[in-house]
Amino acid sequence: VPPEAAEAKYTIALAGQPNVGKSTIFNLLTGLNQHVGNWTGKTVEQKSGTYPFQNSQYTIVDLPGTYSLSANSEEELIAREYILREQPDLVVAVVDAATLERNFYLVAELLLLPAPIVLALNMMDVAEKEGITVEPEVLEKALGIPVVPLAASRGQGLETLKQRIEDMLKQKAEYKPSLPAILPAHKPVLDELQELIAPAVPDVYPADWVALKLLEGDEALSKTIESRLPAAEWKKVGALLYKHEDAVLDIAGARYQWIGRMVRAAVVEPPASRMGFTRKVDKYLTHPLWGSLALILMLGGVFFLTFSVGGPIQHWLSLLVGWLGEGIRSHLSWAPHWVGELLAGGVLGGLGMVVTFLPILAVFYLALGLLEDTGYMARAAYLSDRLMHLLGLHGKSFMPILLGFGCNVPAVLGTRIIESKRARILTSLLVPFVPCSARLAVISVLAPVFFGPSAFWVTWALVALNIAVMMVLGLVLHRFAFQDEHVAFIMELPLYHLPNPKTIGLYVWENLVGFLKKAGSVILIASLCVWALSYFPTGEIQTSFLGDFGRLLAPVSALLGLPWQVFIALLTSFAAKENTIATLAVLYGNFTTALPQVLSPAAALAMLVFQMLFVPCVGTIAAIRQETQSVKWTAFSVVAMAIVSFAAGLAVYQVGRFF
Amino acid sequence: MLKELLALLASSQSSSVSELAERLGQSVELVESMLERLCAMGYLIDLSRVACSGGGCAGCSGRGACALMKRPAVWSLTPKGKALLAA
Repeated sequence: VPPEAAEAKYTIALAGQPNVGKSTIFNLLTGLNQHVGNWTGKTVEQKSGTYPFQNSQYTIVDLPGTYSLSANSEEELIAREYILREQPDLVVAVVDAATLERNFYLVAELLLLPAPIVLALNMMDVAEKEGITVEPEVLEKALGIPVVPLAASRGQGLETLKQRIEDMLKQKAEYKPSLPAILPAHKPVLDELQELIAPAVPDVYPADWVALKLLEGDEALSKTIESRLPAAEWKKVGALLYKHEDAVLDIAGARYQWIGRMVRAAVVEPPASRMGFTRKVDKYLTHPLWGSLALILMLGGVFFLTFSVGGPIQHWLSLLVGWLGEGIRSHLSWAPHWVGELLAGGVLGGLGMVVTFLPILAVFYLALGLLEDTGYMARAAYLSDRLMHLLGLHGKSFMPILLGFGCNVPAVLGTRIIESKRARILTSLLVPFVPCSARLAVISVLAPVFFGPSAFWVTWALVALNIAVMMVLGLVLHRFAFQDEHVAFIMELPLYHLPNPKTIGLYVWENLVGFLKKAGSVILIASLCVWALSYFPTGEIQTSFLGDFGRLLAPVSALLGLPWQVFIALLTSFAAKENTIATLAVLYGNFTTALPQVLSPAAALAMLVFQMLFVPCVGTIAAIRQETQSVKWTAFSVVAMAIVSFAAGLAVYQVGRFF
Repeated sequence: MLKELLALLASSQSSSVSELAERLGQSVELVESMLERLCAMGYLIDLSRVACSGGGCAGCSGRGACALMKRPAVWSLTPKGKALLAA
């Protein structure tokens, strides 16, 4: 029917949360008959369009996506003002059938406005795929409003929606909405409030709705009413609102009770759902004993996979780098000696050797990505919190410590969530003991060089050592900083699901690209500096600047059973943790074969322990300075970690050499 | 129901959403939705978001990968939430 022939004209508002398929429904209903502009005086986009249906013409106004109508944002204000001021003939509330609990709060608020509602139960196909069965007829009875099931992305249900809208507007449908209850204790308060504000309520607003919103603490409406009421009257309103300040929780709580009732009535969850599976698995994986054992096994599994798959490829690549280095030297025999050495020893030796570890890192990140994307890492965090709690380390220091496993820098900056300055400073000092992903990557590379098939046990023990040191210090932290402070948490544990190959692939890719960027900047510069210091002025490492400096350090490094070259490599991790590998490569060439010949197993273990506990990278130190605002505390952190790492390395070597 | 949830959170040591949901006799999704609402109302804070908003990720080589994975929310009481329970 062409628009000119239409007999009646109606205006429909389309409301809903973001990402519920509202735009898809709008586009399918209106086709090309759309107009896009902005809401008057706002920067938020306004879309409207028309469609004809059975001799009537419908204008659809797409309201901004909102989570509620509480004037918390410009979008929420636009949506509710439109419904109240423009008074559309009907509102279509679009909800995601797979997540009704999250969507119904808005519906509960929409039902309080004067316009009739039709519920568009969209994404029925997604809900079905996720094992959630929603019964639209039951929901319709429970809600007392028309409910239309849709799968808009497949174009299903649109004609029924049009028909139900038509029926509703022509009063052919029953409309007896079930509204969220108001606590009996609040009814007299609302009545009193309504009486007080009655002369100031704008004509287009229902007075009972305004009273309810004021009790909810709605700032926009408070300002409106305040500006229209005599000061003495507003004072009475203010006193009443202050007295019932916490009523907002009862009002919102009643809405959630209503949501719970509606969802329980209409949603059927099969016994073998993902939720059921998650509950069963979590019984073990979040159990203090079984969960801890599983965590240990998972961690060991990650390292085992990394070494057994990535190791052989790295070995082959390191041979290739050695061969390329020799090629460069022989091809540049005509040039000054230092040119060949710079390219073969400095650039290829340092950077090239670091790059050969990409396969190891790829497997490491693949394993981590799998654990993360299945939802297991959240359980590991949850379990860690429980373990820390058992040891007395709890409170808001938990979150920065958890972040520290990724990178220490944001973890230190994250300590700002802790209110107490003393606790904040002490947590900043504790975070660098958390083995960050760079430390773990370096250990993943070095451990198999010395310990072959046993490397994953060694790596696991090194991680455990760091956590143990951190926990011992955490006990001190608890005793001195968090005494009497009880901070409770609730943690979200997502449902287990099959990992998405695309997400995992991107995760590995992003990590490797990030590593290569670091290799091409910080690591390359450090490699060239180490090379230059080890080459000049004589071209021989023993008589170079670095050699002179190294001999000064030799008595100290000997206590750990380490040649000074290895000790210097460890010290260069101050710029970035990966520099240890680059420096070893510059000083030893293919260190995977050279190092086992110069280090005893006890010395190798001491080296790894030192690497794990040594002073954090310069970025973390800068973050500590920023958060503590104290050079003294920053210096304390650096010195304390240097002492702890040296003492631990010393103990390991001195005890280990007797075995 | 929201007051009950806040009180449960404050009295528990540390727990997961599913544990709380079980104690309240509600679904996990509903409890999550309530927690998000309490966050919007200023009674709770999502520590994972606050901790990640420190700006420390700007120079991190792993930030691209980190952003790909959804970090689980960790809710805790704000001073406003504590004051409400103390009243």
